[in-house]
Amino acid sequence: MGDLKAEAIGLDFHYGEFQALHAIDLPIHENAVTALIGPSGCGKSTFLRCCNRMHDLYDGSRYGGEVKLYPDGVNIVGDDVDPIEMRMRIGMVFQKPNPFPKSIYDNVAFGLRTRGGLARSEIADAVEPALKSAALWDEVKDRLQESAWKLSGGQQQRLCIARALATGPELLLLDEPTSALDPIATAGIEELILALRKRITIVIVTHNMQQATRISDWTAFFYLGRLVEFGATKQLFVKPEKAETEAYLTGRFG
Amino acid sequence: MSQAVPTPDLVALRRGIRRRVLFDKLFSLFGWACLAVGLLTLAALLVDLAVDGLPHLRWDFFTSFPSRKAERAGILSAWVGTVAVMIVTGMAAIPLGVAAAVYLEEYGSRNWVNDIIEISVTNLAGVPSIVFGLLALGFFIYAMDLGRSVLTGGLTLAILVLPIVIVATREALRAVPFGVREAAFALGATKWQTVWHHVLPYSLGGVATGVIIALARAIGETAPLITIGALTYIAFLPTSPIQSQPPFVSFQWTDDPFTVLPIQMFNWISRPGDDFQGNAAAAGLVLLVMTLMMNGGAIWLRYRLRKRIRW
Repeated sequence: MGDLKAEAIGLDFHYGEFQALHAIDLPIHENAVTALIGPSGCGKSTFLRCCNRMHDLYDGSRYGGEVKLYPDGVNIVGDDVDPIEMRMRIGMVFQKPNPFPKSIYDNVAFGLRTRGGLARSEIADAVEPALKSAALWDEVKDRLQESAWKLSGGQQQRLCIARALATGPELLLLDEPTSALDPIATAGIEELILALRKRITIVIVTHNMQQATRISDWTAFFYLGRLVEFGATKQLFVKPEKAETEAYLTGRFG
Repeated sequence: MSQAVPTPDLVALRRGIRRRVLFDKLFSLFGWACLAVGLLTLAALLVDLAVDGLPHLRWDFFTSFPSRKAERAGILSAWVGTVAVMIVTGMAAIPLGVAAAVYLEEYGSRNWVNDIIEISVTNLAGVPSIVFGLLALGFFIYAMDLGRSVLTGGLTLAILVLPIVIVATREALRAVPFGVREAAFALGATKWQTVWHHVLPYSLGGVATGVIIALARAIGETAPLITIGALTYIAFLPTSPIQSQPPFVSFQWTDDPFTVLPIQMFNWISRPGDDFQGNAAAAGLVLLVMTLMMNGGAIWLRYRLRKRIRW
């Protein structure tokens, strides 16, 4: 199933005194979807937010170990690595759709504008393909200057995906992207993820195990800040190796 | 499984409800009475001022300088002075206050230095205004030799209202949900890009409201300006900022002596006899209307900008 796009090697993470992640070893396969599952507070979102240094925004966070991003093999959580560079190379979509209260166009263009030195036309040229990749173009092409807040929840979340795609990220992190959406909008996002995975590596945190089976190639089960089991999704759901994984999958806890 | 449910005593139940609802009604009545005290005081003040002042509010009251004759005295130099001082106050307090608030809210991390700064800012808001006057007298006039000018007056009031601007701006910034900041950061924005393109524009309504309330507070201040020695009788205007000779603009006005409406009012009230009391009431009315208009403007602005952005 292809090469590795990223790889966590002995990743630790602390919030102040509290250790939230313990020695995580997790490969992220290129152009595939990796789902992170586990009960609330197991560290799956914490892991995801390590991958674009989101924790740096808050005082008292500390990383240990490595998360390598290939092909160059830079350690994402390295002290000497600029978190801004990592966030420019890695896109993220959040649980609650959080478009800026600006126009649809400005939402998609913002990531490119922050980079500076791009001509207006270069930015304009990037907006349409980004919206097309996020399967939103046909719905919004006639009202790009309207406020993004006029869109429905599902459209807003696809706009957030377009916003993340516009800068051409090497890796896309999705933090429970459908948990605030209704079933129809959720189906739309899932379809989009399946369409995207051929050309971009995706890591998705999800609470919904059916969702993980529907859209992911690989699944990692987190529990109490540790990676319990990792494997091909089909294998892991049908024949988990660890007793804890089986207990969680069959609904005995979590 | 059937369980015997005891029949509730509905009569007693309903009596109990009535008793509790009665207390609700009594309290809301009491609340109204409390509000009425405040509103009636304001209304009485307005009516009293209007009765004494309205007959004096003719057009030439606004276009005449103060005079020894009560019927010829006007507030031209006072309202122009008030406007000039407010311009200086706003130009100094708004950028300083907003920048300080942005630092405290977005940049400063939690440590003891920032904690002390925060406590100091809050305490500063409670310092009596005359103390700011003393500070200004020592600093702007004696140490920096700025004279008893519009600039000194404006800067004095600017420090006075700086804490109000800071506190209001911080509250407005805090109202912007963290998800918006995370969205910007996740796209690779720097702190400054996040603040400048997102957090500040989205909190503009709250910031503007805070600024207007701060200026409305400054416009009525008398004590600190008297402390720095603002004149109580001025029969000329500051130099015009627009000149007929090149370079056409002049900042000489900031260096000119000034008086403001509350000082003019204070001057008239302290005269013996009844002649000037009507003038004082009229000036008070003008001041009150200016303040109410600013507060009204703040409410309107908040309403307009809230309608556009609601989290």
